[in-house]
Amino acid sequence: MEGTLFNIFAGLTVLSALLVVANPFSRNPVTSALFLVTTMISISGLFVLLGAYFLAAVQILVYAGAVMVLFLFVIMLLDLREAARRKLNLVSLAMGIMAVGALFSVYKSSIESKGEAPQQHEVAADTGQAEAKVSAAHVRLAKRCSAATKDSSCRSRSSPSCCWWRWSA
Amino acid sequence: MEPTLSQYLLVSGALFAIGLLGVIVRRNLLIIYMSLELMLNAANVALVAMSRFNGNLDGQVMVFFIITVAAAEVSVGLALIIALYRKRQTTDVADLATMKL
Repeated sequence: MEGTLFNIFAGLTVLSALLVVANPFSRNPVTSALFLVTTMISISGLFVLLGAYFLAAVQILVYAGAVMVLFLFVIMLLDLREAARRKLNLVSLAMGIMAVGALFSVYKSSIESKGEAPQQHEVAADTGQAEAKVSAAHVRLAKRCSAATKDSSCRSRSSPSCCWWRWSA
Repeated sequence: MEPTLSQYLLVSGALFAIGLLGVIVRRNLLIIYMSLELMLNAANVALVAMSRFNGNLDGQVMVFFIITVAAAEVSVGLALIIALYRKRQTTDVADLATMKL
């Protein structure tokens, strides 16, 4: 049930967001604004699925209510019918789709590689122990430094904030 | 079955990518502004999903502030667009290149 609702709202969100940006049937800004309303309402549906009921209500009130009225007011005040007739540059469209697609595929692969979480936790625990060891070594080194010499370079190199990543790596 | 965190993050990433595409490709200032709103909402979805699956409310508080700031930003930005239109009679970013080198 919840999965079905999620699929419906997620599909509606992505589809209507695509129709805001690149509508093949209409280049009118009013159409984009109305599809933006659909996007906002389906995002608030996602908020309800996530248990954020107050935010869902605020999303509809603020975005679908206030912000959309402002947008439609400005679009109709400026009377942008002449601007709607301009064509998109095909080269820039292809380059934009390529760049954004590459960005999204990197994001997607980084999300999916988060799947093996236990290994990462082990690694984190290991580095935590290593850091503890290294910081104990730092303390010993600092004590020796301050006791034996008053060399400032030695003391600055032994400070834990200096290069802890090199120690822990 | 219940949707997972990575599914929500995927929807949020897709929404952000579509908004970024709009900012890059479209030439109308108003549509660019709507795409910016899409990107803000993608961040909101990611924050709420994170706060749900981590079991605290920090993300929802953050989203509340983001919505407030976005509403204020829209009013200021649309006022700027109207002022620009009264001066130049256009909302096309290709025509607004006075500050270009």
